Amino acid sequence: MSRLRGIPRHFRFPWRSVREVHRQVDEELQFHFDCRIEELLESGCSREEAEQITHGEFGDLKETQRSLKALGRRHEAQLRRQIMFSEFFRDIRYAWRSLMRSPGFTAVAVLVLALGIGAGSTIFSLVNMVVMRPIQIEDPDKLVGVYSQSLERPDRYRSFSYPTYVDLRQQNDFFEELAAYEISTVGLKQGDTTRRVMAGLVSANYFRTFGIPPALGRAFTVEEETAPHADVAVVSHDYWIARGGDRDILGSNLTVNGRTVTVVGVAKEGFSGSSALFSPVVWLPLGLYSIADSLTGPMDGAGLTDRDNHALMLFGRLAAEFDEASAAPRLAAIAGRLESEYAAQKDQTFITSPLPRLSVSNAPDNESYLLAPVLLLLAMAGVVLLIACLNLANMFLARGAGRRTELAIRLSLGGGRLRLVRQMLSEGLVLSLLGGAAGLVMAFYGTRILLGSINNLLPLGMDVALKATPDWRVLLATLVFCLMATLFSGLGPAWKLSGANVISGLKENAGQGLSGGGKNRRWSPRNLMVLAQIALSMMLLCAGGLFVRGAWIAADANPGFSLRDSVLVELDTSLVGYDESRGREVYRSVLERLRGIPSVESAALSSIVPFGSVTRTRRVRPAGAYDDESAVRSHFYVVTDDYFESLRLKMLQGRGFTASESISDGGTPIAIISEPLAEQLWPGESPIGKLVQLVGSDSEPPPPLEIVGMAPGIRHQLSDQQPASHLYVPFGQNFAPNMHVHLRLDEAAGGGGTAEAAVMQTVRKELRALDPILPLLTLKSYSEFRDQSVFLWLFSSVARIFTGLGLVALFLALVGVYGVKAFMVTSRTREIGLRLALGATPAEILKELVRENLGTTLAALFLGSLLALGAARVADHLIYESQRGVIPILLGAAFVLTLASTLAAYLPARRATRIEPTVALRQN
Amino acid sequence: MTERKRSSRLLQGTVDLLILKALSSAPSHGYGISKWLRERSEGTLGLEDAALYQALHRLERKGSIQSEWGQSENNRRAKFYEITPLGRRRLVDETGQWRSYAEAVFRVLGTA
Repeated sequence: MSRLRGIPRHFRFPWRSVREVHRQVDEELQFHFDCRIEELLESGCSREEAEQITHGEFGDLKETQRSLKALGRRHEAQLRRQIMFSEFFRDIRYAWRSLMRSPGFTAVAVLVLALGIGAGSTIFSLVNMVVMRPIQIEDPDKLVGVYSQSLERPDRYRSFSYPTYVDLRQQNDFFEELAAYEISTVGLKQGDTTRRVMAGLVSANYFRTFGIPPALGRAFTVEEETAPHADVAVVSHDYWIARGGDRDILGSNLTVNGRTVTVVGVAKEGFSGSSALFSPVVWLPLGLYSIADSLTGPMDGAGLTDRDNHALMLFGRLAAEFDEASAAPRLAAIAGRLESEYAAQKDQTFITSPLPRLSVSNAPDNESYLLAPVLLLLAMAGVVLLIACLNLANMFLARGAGRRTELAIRLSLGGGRLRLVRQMLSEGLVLSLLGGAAGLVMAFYGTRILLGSINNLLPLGMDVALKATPDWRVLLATLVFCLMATLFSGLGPAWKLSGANVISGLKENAGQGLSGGGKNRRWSPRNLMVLAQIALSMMLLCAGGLFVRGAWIAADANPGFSLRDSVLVELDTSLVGYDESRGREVYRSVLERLRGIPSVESAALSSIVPFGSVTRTRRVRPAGAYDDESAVRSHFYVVTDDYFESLRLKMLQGRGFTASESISDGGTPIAIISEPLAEQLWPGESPIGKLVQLVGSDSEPPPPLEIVGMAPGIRHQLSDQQPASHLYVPFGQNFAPNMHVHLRLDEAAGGGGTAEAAVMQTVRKELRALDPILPLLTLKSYSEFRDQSVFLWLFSSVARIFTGLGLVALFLALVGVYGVKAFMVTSRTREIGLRLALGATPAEILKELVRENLGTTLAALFLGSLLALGAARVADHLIYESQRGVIPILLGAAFVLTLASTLAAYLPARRATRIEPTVALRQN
Repeated sequence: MTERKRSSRLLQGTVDLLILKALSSAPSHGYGISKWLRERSEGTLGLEDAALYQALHRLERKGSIQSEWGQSENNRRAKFYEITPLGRRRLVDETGQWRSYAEAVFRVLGTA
C-alpha cells in the first residue's frame, strides 16, 4: 500500500478475530455517521434534523451492519485458509530441502516407513478385497436371500424345488424380482480337452434381479427356463477375454457336458453373482438342469419340475415399498399356504436374510466368523506400523540431537516453539508420504502374489472374482496410515526437541539430556523405544511361528491311513455327457487298465476323498427309530471293494465289500460304517447286521442299509482334530459320475516320489488311450494332493502373512537397535576416549556396550513373551493346536532376536573401540 | 421505503463503477466517497449509503479495492479504501462498456 503514504499505519495481524471484524464494521459506520452529522450541523441544521437526514440517506442500518459483518467473517475465513495453505506449502518445501540435505537419513526413514505403511496397506487391501469392496450388484440393500427353514428345527434349512419357486414368484407382491439358481460344475470342452468349470444354473430373471444385464448379447428367456432343449449359455467376462474378447463369441458354440450350446451373452465385467470371492465361468438356463450335474449330490434322476427335488437357492429384490421386516409376514403366509397344499412343503417356512458376501449356501449366513481374523490381521499390521513409528521417532531424536545448535539458535532468535514443532512434523509428513507411496506399490504386488497363489488351487474350476487393483479405500487407508505415522513418530520428538534448553543447547554437549547421560541411560526414552520395538517384533514372530507350526502339525498329523506310495486320479463321466451305464463301463475299463500297470498293486474307486476340497455328507439314523432327532451327519462315500485295502485300512468287525457288490446292482442295500459313527449311533454295541436309515429331504425315504462291516475312523479334513464319521456304500448299488481312483503302488517297485512320477506318466497315457475326451481332473500323488488342499493353502497363506509381518518387524527393530547404538557411541566419543586414555582396554569398552544392549534386549524379550502368549490366547481358535509348540517357538524367536540385536549393537560398538583417545578428547 | 425503491433502480454494477471512479484519483474512506458522489451528482443519484458500503465491502472481497485503517483529516481512525491495479482495469473496461451501452440507448431514443 505504497499509495497510502502520509497516512499513519496501524500494525495489522495476518488475520482478525471475529470480534475484531465486527468492531471494525461498527467503527467504520460510526465514523460515517459522525462525519455526516457534523457536516450537516456546520451547514446549520439542528442536531435532530441532522440525525434524521443522515439516517434517511443511509437506509437500513441494522441490515447493513448484519450483512457487512457476515461478509467480513467470510472474507476473514477465506484469508485464513489461504494463509494456512501457503504456510503449509512453505513448510513442506522447507522440509523437503532439509531432508534432501541428509539423504542417508531420508533414505533409511523412507525405507522404514515404506515397510511399516506397506504392511498396513497390504493387509488392508486384502481385507478390502474380501470383506469391503462392493460386489457388482445394483442397489444391493434391496437384495435379500430367501431361505426355506424347518419349523420344527429352526436351525435347519434346505433348498427350494422349482415348483415352489414358481409358486412363490407368482404369489408374492413384495418382490420386484425373485430369482433362482444353483451352482454346479460342468465339463467345458476347449479344443481337444475338457475342463471342469463352475457353472450357474439360473432362472430367466437372474441377471435382471441383480440389476446387471449382460455386457454383450442377452440374458435367458422365460421359455429357456423350462424348455429341456434350451441349448444356450452366457459366459463370464473373464472367459470371453481369455478367448480373445471378440464379438463373434455371440452365436458361437460351446460343448457343455457333451452337449452343444450356443453363446447368447457375455456377463458384465466383474459380475460374479452374489459372491465376492469366486465366479461361475458359464451360466446356463434352468432348462438345462438335467444335463448339468449338481454339486449337492447324486441326482437320483429327479427332474427340475419335481416338487420333491429341492435344488434351488433363491434371492429377491424387494419392491420399493417393502423392507425385510414388512415382507416377512407375507412371506410366511405364502409358506403356510404351500405347506397346507403340498406334502413336500410340510414343516417349511420361508425367511429372508441379507445375501452373504463369501459363501453360497441354502442357509442364511451373517459371516460373523470373519470379524476375528480380520481384526487380528489389522491389529498385527498396526503393530508393524507402530514399530516403524517408534523407529522413526528414534531417528528423529538422534537427528534432532545433531541439530541442537541449529534449533537452539532458532529458538533464541524468536522462532516459536509451535513453529519448530510444525517444521519437524512437516518433515515427518514428507517422509510418510514418500513411504506411503512406496508402501502402496508393495501392497499392490503383495496382494497380486497372494492371489496368484490361490488361482492354481481353487477346486472345481472357479474364476477368482477378487481383483488386486487398489481402489479409493486402499488409498484413503494408506493416507490415514501416513498421517498416523507422522503424528506418532514426529509429535513426541518434535515437542521434546523444541523444548530443549536454549542455553545448554548453545553450549553444545554440556548436557546429555537426550542421549541419556548419567545413571538413567538405560531407561532413556530412546532405549525404551528400542525395547518396545524388540518386544513387539517378538510377538509378531511368535504369532507367525505359531501359524507355520500349526500348518505343519495339521499336515503331518497321522491321518489314520497310509498316504505313502499312492496316486490319486479324479474323473467325471458327466462332464462329457455320459449316462450311468456308459459311466460304469468307463470306470470298469479304467480300473482294468490301471491295475494292469506293473507297479500298481491295487486300484479302487471312491466318490470323495479325505483331504479333498469337496465333501458330501448325509444325515443318518438307526432304522426303526422314527425320530430324526437322533440323526447324525456323516461323510458319505461311494467306494469299490478294494478301497479299504488301498488305504491300508483293516475292517475292525465284519467284512468289506465284495467285487460283485462293487460292480453290480441288486441284492440287499448294504453299507460299511466307521467306528466313530458306530459309536454315535449304537454306543457300546456291535453295528454289524444293524440297519441304518439315510435321512433325506424327500418325502419317501430310501430303503435302509444293512451294515456289513466296521472300518477304523480316519480324519476327513486337515482341520479335523478327531477321526470323522464315515458311511461307505458300494459303487454297484450307488452310481456317482465323479469318482477318484486310488492307486496303491507296489512297495517292491521302489516307492517314493520317482515311482509315483513314473506311474502318473503311464496313467496319463493309458487313460488317453482308453478315452481321449474324458478329462483328467486330478493326477497327483496323495501327499502332493494333501499339500495343495485349500485348507492348507489358507493356513499357509496366513502363516506366510504373519511370518512376513514378523520379519518386517524384526528388520525394523534391528535398524532401530543399530541406529541407537551408533548414535550413542558417537555422542559418547569423548567419554570413551577419556576412558581409553585412562587405561581401559578396547575389549572392556566393547563388552560394556554390548552388555548394555543385552540388558535392554532381555527385558524386551521378557515383555515380548508375555505379549506373544497373550496373542496366542486371542488367536487360540484360529490356530491349529496352538497350545503345542508355544515354548519352542518363544525360545526360537528369542534366540534369533538376541543374536540379531547383539550383532546390531556390536558393529557400532566396535567402531567406538577404534577411537583415538587424543583425537576424541580434542574433538569437543 | 421510497428511498429504498429509488436506490434499487441503480444497477449494482453502476454503484461499483462509481466507487472505482471515486477512488481512481486518491484513496478515501467511505464517508469521503459518499460525499464526493453526492456533490458530483448534486444529489440526483439518490444512492443509499447502505448500498455504498455493501458495494465497498464486496469490491474489497473481489480484490478491486483494498483497505487500511488510517488517520482521517479530522484526526480520527477511519477505514481508507484504495483502488488496486485490478480495480483500475475494471474501471477502464466497464466505463467503456457503460459508454457504448449509453450511446446505443441514446441512438435508439434519438431515432424513435
